[in-house]
Amino acid sequence: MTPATEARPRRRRSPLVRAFARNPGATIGLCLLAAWIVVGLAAPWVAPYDPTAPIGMGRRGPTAAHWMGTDLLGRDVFSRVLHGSRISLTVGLISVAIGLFAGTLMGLPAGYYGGRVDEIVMRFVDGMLAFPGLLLALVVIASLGPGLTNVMIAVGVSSVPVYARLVRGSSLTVRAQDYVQAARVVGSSDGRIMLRHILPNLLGPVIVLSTLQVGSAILVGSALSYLGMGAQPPTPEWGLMTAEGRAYMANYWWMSTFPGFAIFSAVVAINLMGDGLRAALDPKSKLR
Amino acid sequence: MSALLPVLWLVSTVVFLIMQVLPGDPVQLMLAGAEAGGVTPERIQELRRVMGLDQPLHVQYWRFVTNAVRGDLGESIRFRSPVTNLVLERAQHTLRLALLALAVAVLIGLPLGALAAVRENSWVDTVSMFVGLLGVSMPLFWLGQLMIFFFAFRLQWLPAISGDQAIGILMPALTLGFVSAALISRLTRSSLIEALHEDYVRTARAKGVAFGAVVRRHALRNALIAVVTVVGLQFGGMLSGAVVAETVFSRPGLGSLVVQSILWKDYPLIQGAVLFIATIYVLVNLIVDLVYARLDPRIRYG
Repeated sequence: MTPATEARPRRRRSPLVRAFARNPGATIGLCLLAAWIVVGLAAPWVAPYDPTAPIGMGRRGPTAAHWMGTDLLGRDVFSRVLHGSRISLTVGLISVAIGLFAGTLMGLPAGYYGGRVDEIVMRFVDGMLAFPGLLLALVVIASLGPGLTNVMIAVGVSSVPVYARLVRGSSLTVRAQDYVQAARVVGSSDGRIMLRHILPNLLGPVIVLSTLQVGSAILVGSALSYLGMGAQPPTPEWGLMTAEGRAYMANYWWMSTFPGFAIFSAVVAINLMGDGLRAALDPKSKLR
Repeated sequence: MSALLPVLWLVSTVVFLIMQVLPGDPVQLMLAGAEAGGVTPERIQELRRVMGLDQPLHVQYWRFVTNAVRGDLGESIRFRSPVTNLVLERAQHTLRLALLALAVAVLIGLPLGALAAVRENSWVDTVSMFVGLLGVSMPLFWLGQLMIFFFAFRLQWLPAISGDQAIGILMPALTLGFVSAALISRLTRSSLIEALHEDYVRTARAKGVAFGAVVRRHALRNALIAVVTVVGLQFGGMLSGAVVAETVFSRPGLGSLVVQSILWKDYPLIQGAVLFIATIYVLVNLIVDLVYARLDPRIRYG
């Protein structure tokens, strides 16, 4: 440690913190997301009622006792929405983890080795991309059966092409860097070069994409539950709750409107934060 | 064109495999799901024979692919009629919905994005960015239900269940279109801003061409190249959005057919519908690529 660094009067804030401080949208998103995370973790303690047990009269509008009313079976919608945060955030995170892992596993060697490996992997990715959006997830559900775990697998699998393409593209450029050549000259194995030299340099774009992907994973996951292929009753899942209230929109609007708004607000939070991250980590990005 | 066949081959293989990785006997699942309880050993044997499931895997696969190429997608368990007919009959509804939604998306997204770019950092820009954020963050099914609530129940302008009436297509098309409009406006904005900073725009301005004319004749034309591609690709988004929209609005179509066939465990119907949608999607993407090359002479496919 040199005297110069010791003498520095105050700690400099990282560029990330500064970029966030300058971006009110990203800060709002971060706070909103933090709130949902806290709610998700603390749901059993902060929710006023049991999310799955009928606690009174059904189909009652919002009151002081039941802020978001009660559903068809007399369950407290507010308590269910709070518990739903835990489910949706888990679906978002786990499916992104699945997609990221599998996508990296495909994209990294494709970009690093190029040639035949690249050709095979990318043809496979093209095949996956032939199923538009939700359809790939539906194909997975059709073969695995409905359920929340399978939703996470399905959403994860359907995001694999996005990650594979990003990781491949970025590792193509990183591969040509001098330090990768140097590592090869020193005699590092291919696996070591990929893990120690290429992967860490992909972190920026991967973090940005993953953040935004958590939002779309929540959207797709809740859509699958809405269609009856994910969470099953009486699970307090936001998409399923929206579906359960669908037939009663005319008279009991609160049953669907609040869970749907919960999805919307969580995804808005993630998108605001993701856009902020992108502006901070990738100044040249086009979609700002 | 040469890339098309391997992709279609992969698609059909994936679709064929749906039934193979299934936990349990597909025939029993199908009969329990689609025929609601009529599971007799005779019916199981019959179905297994009719569907060729008693054959070795490679024979089944060969049969599936060669039949699919000839347009024979097997028979639906639930409807007891050829899958091809069911799919084609539903396809027209979805196609109409997708095209109308695409029109909505372009009509909202393009002007909004262009206006935002021309008036960068003004209130128009802020509004368009906000609409963009709403569009990409809103669950389609929730937006659909809110539309039903306001336009059908509160204002009573439109029917709640779209059914077969011509007017019924309006709400699903608006719902689907809004989500894509957000993407289109975002992209139009960013590519037009980029184009406005190009040298040829400065040249045109310098020789005295009015700003509006520069935008229309120079910048917008170049910006639209990227937009056209995205509009084309949005067609795929429409096909997948239709899965949700058709369910929310209780409309017949390919999307609701896929959902129902999965819930019924009607595997030939699932396979046929999925294969059909993927094929249409791949073909549309190919057309978009070709149009793209025609619009931008710098792009040539070897």
